[in-house]
Amino acid sequence: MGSRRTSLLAVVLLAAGSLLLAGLIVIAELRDDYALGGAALGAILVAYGLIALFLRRLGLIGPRRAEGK
Amino acid sequence: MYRRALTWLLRQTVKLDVYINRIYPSDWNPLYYTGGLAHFFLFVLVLSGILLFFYYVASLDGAYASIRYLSEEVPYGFLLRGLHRYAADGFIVAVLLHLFRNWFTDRYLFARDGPWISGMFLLILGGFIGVNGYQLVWDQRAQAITEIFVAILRAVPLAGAALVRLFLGSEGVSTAMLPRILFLHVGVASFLYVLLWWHYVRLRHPKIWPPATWVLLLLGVLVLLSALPGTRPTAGVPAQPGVRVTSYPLDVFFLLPFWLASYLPPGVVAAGLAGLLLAGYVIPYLRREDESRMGPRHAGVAQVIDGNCTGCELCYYDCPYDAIVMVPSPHPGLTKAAANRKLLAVVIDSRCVECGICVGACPFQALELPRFLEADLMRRVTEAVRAGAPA
Amino acid sequence: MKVVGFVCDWAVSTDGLLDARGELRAYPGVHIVRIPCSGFMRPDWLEESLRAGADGAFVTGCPYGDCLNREGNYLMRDRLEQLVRRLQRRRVDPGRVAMFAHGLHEREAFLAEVGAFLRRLEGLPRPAAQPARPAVRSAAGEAAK
Repeated sequence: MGSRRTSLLAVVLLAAGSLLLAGLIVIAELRDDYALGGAALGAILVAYGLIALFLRRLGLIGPRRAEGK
Repeated sequence: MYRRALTWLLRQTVKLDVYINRIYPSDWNPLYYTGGLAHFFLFVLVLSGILLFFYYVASLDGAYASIRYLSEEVPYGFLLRGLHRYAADGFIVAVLLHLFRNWFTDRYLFARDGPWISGMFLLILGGFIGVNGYQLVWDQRAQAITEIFVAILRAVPLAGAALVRLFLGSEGVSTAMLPRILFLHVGVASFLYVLLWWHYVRLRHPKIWPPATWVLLLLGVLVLLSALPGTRPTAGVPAQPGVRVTSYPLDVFFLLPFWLASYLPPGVVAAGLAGLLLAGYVIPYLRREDESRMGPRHAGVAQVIDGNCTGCELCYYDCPYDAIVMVPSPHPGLTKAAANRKLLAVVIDSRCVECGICVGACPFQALELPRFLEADLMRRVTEAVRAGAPA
Repeated sequence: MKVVGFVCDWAVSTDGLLDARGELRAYPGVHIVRIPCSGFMRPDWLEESLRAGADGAFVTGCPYGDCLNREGNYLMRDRLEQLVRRLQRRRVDPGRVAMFAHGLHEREAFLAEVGAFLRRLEGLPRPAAQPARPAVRSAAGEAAK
């Protein structure tokens, strides 16, 4: 099923991306660049939100079974 | 006219859902959680507000400096300020979405006027607290809106001067002002939770928290907005007594009346706001259709059939509006199952919204909607099945 | 093929889809009854519709999450699951009852799902004899064995 593959791929990519962003936070902290750290934190949260969305579309999380079938 | 406009609006509102549900499992549709979203923003506001409170100095000289210190010297202080500011905007947006959606989809009918009325109070109080927040910064924008606020209050007949004293602590700007506004912003804001209790009190399982995706996404957007250089809240220009402020950055969600006040006389703005609010309170009592044409939507308050009720409490657990209470049974029921009952279900008429969920919950045929009887329903079914059945 | 459909009055709009007898134009034999909320359905009524001679019965509620009364369609879904277990005990094919969720505008999706339901019914074996005994009696009979 194509959409399932794309969802899985999106989850993996987003997870990898947020790992990079976590690295960015460390760098920002070392440089005392709080604006960069804040932006990276926000981007990580957005990425996590999207991961939750895709996991839901895969039917892995969420209340009871997914209706979409 | 009103009916047709609302029906059109209902159809458009629900059409929006269709598109969202295509990409999203329907029970995570954010438009089904507008109230929960507002509550989420309020939660962010309270948390960031408590932290802001540690840094804020409520004096005419110190207020601006303390906020400047927070946003420029304290690590991630700008984040705190930005969260508070953008969560406030999000709160108003979510509340307005909640209001319009529940209006257009008829979620105020019958006994559901309580949540509507308390919701209007929440909207007023929320808007007022938001404006107070902009005054607390005490930059030139705060100076300007305080001036307009005083003008609007003075335009209120009879009570005008007293209202100014109430909200500012003196006739105009003075040292007494900021501590009082701080109290209005923080102390009175806790009254929001009293109103929320009223808002939720007749609801069983209210949806008070949005799904995880939306919590994470919105929190991320709030953090991004407060960290990115273009949208980071700026310190503005410090207030100077005697300076007449001619322009200031406008927050459309809270300061719209103040923008209007620069074109209209303050009396008109005050009257307009009061009229809008009064209209808001009337909405749940305007019925879209006359009652005879509502069909199954107005099937009458559920009735307990005393003889059949076994006191099993199933309807009591399923009623979404706490409209059913169990009382000690005054006498045994008539059927075999009901003969030894200890409890009897009683419907509180003033809380019932005629949805019939208790009827579906009852396996003992002890509940009926008076204008939608089980016997009629089953007769219809039987006739329909007989009519077309091949002989 | 006789099917009874109980449709929440707030859910999918059937204006213009019905003929004079209250049956779907697209699928003659599917009789639609509008009810106040999908949670209003007592699951026994679905069983009773089958006993009255219908080949199938379904409930349609609003999309999950959007019930006007917050929980009506979730409650109905749970009750239907319980009904399915009861039907299995009574040797009635649980494939003959179903629950759908469609919003005001989703007529095409609704009609498509009704069509699929009809096809599923056609594939089911004919019920042997009419389940003539009322549910209460048969339950008592089982207890006596």
